[in-house]
Amino acid sequence: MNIKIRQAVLAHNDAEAAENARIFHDRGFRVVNVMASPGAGKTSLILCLIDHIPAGLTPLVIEGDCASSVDADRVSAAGVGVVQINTDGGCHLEAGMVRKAFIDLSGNGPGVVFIENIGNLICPVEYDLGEDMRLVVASVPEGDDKPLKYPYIFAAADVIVLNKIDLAEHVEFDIASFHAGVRAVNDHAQIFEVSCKSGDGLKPLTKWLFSTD
Amino acid sequence: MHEASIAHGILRGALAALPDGKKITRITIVAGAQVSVVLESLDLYFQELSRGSLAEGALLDLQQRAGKLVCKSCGQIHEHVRGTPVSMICKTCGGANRLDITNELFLESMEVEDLQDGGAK
Ligand SMILES: Nc1nc2c(ncn2[C@@H]2O[C@H](COP(=O)(O)OP(=O)(O)OP(=O)(O)O)[C@@H](O)[C@H]2O)c(=O)[nH]1
Ligand SMILES: [Mg+2]
Ligand SMILES: [Zn+2]
Ligand SMILES: [Zn+2]
Repeated sequence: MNIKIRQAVLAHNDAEAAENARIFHDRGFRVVNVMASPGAGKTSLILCLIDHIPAGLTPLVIEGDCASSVDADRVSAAGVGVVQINTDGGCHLEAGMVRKAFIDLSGNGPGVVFIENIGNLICPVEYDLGEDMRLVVASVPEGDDKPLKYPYIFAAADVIVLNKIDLAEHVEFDIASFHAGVRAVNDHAQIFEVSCKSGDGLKPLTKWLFSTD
Repeated sequence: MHEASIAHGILRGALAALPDGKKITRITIVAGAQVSVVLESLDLYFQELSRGSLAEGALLDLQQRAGKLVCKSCGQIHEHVRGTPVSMICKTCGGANRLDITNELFLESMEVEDLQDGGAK
């Protein structure tokens, strides 16, 4: 006998994500899910964005990592409320983990929660965390073909930040073909070019990011 | 690794939809192009997690949808093969392609049979 089911496999995660969204908004926070490959500059970018956050907005950070608390320590050293999730080798964050972490964070809105997802261009995209915005970081040393090789995460992005632009001339990165690649898989995401090292390009990004609420 | 959490979702959803007195022999899952699942790995986790349940031994049938490359000039559609780079140029006219994908991941249906006497509870 055949039984039709037609139900989302990750229905449980989706329900928790919807609940997260309610909890975030009740406390006055907008939430940005930051996704990228390992070393692209997720932590660096989050710290730069927090540097530019308008007065009156409280930043909080949820750090996902397979192991260690190195990134959480960097954020904490900057005087920002942070909680670490160790996935113990797991390749992505799930909504339930994020909820537990958020409850451990003190501070009230209005503000912005940055979630640093696990460094991985494949798995995090399937798991809604209840975020308002998906920010994908690509970095120059990874090469300009990444949107074509990992189309799904770029397709899911609301905003794409090309980081380490200071290295472009050293590694023959073709910015125009990067843009064309993004546009082949995503016709709506905003694209910004920045260097977390020199600070170039951060102004337009922060202006856009913090004024969309 | 995320196959473990997907296997868990499949098992949870299938058992919840299972009528009394039946057991599951086959489960069909549909995955949009955007979803990355390795069937072998999914199978391993599913076998492990379903042991001792009414889904033990069920076959997983994963139907992965292909992405579509739609030409922005001539409208021609070519299939995007998973795991290959997206081709930006339309093979038909040389125009620019746009990748059209979906991200659904759902339990489509399952095949069930009567529980034999003495079968798993
Ligand atoms: N040249 C240059 N280096 C950068 C820039 N941004 C970050 N880096 C360096 O890149 C390295 C990785 O940066 P992180 O911010 O730790 O990257 P991440 O994505 O958080 O890394 P994981 O959490 O380990 O996945 C560090 O050594 C940074 O100093 C940049 O704009 N230019
Ligand atoms: Mg980091
Ligand atoms: Zn994974
Ligand atoms: Zn064409």
